[in-house]
Amino acid sequence: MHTFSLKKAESFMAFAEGRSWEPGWLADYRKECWDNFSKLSGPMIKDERWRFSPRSRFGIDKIKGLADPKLSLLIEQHSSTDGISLELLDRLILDQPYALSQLPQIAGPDLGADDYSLLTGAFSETGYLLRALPNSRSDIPLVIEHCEPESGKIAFHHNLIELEENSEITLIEKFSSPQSYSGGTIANLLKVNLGEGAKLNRIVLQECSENATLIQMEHFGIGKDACLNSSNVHLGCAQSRVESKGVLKASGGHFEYGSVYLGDDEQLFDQRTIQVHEAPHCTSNLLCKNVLQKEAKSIFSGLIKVEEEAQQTDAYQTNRNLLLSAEAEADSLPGLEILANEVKCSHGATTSRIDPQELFYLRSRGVPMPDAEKLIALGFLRECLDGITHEDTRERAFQTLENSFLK
Amino acid sequence: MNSLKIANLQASIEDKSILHGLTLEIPKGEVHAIMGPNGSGKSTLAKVLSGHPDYEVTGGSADLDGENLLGLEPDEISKLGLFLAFQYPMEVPGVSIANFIRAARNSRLDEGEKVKAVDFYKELYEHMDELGMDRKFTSRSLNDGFSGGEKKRCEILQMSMLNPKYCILDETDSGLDIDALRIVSDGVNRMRNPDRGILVITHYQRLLEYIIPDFVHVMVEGKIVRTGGKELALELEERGYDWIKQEAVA
Repeated sequence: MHTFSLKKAESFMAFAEGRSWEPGWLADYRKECWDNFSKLSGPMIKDERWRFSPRSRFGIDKIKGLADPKLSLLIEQHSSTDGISLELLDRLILDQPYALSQLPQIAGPDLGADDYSLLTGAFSETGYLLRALPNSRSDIPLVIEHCEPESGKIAFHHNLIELEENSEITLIEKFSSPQSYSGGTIANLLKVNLGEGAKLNRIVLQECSENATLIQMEHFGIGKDACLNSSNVHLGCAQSRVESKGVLKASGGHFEYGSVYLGDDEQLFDQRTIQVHEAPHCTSNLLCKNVLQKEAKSIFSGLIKVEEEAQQTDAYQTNRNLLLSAEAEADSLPGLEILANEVKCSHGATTSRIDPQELFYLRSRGVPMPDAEKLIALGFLRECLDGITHEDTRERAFQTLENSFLK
Repeated sequence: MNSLKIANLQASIEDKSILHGLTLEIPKGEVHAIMGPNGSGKSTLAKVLSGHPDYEVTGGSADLDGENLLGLEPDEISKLGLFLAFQYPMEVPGVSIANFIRAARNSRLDEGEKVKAVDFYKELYEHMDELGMDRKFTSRSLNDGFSGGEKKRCEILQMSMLNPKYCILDETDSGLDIDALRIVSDGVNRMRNPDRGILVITHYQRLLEYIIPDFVHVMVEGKIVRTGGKELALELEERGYDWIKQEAVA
């Protein structure tokens, strides 16, 4: 019996043998991903996509086994609407072995974590598929829970969202540690395709343990007049790497992305984003705010890329960081790459500390120093959640943030 | 004991001396006004009494009902019962008026206790109605994008909700039109009572037509140089500050 390692061919072979019941297309896909992974050269010293990141904290050497897929992904709120289905992939592969192979193929975000992206293709045993038929609409938010596995184990989730014309869904994705495990890793690959006029409101609430690792890779393909609104609250994890790519493929599309990170102790938040405008008359707006306490560190790297055909683009990108201690650190790498000439694009990044005059104002009403700092920091982050259109969900997201801060 | 008592107060900022031995006593039940030219140290006095960290007290004393204020943190001073209505209230994005006032109220309760939301909002709305404030203001960010008048009303709202023993109003009339001035003054007048002392700092006599003081003090170069009744304000309005400055020097 050999020791499991994601890097060993024999570990992959043993895994693949254990899943001989799977359809051939899936076995081929896993093998292809594994082969491509094994061909990756080690991390290059100067890889811009990992600039400022202590990459060793995301190393795969610490992984000693795979999580139990039955425990690592749960559907908390199913769809009760005709035309909308939310299913776990392990069930789906048993029931309809060829359904998945017929969906449009979408690549990962390709923003640096190629190793985890390919390993997810090779090893994932679960994931969800969310589909909506044309004109279907769910009034209640659907809820998915990604669960942190035991220490040393990794959960690979490979998820797909396919919304057809004029459908609309609100989806809450929780990342948490319901079994109170601490020190597990989640690698989550999400591929989204929005058809004409489709609308996805997605809210991420990440409250994993303080020892968890998260690698989140997401690719949003946005069709004509479609709208993707993604709001993200990150509180837990020792280290997280989030790669988000929004691609506006046809005119009239809109990509709205907001994220808040609240860092404490030695937490590391590494965030990479790209807004790709391929078509004219599209809009995108990205707002990322981080509040860092103690020795927490954040890295934000974002690019707005406007292709030659994408005239009349409106694209904005903002990163703001608030440091609450002398040791906290925020690195920001905003970027623009514009090939079209009639566009409105802007990016901005700021890092600041709490204004002492604001603090005095709050304290002069009796609010003690730590509470005054928290009020100001929460106020600073609130703006990012205002984009959540579903009112209950917005309050829930804010409550989660507030509880985490005031505990 | 029942007064805000300032004796020979001296204070400086970045080694620049501003208050040069200021003495003033505001007993409960009285309204005092301080007038004075620009740069005489009026706002510094307000900030020093409130515990602003930028100022250094170099001498003298300040006691609230017998308790020493100097050296206390701003939140401790607030809890003792001193309220400062700011000349330029800070804008704090994302912090709603209601949450802010609630946090301030909660800070006055014992550890673990909280104000009841229903009672709190009932009281808040009553005060807002009196000040002619739209109830939608409760969820708006504190002073964020407010007009001058809205900011000052918001200060008076906080003052009413915190029920202080002593209030200092620092140039509350600045940036107000006549209507706003009346509303804000009415708010202050409603708070006049035998258990509360009020200090109005102003540049102009106009505000004192609405908030009629028991005493008027003139401040020049960090000291009170003259004290009189409300008629002193009128005299200043007529004659300006130069004669008083000259008298002070002489």
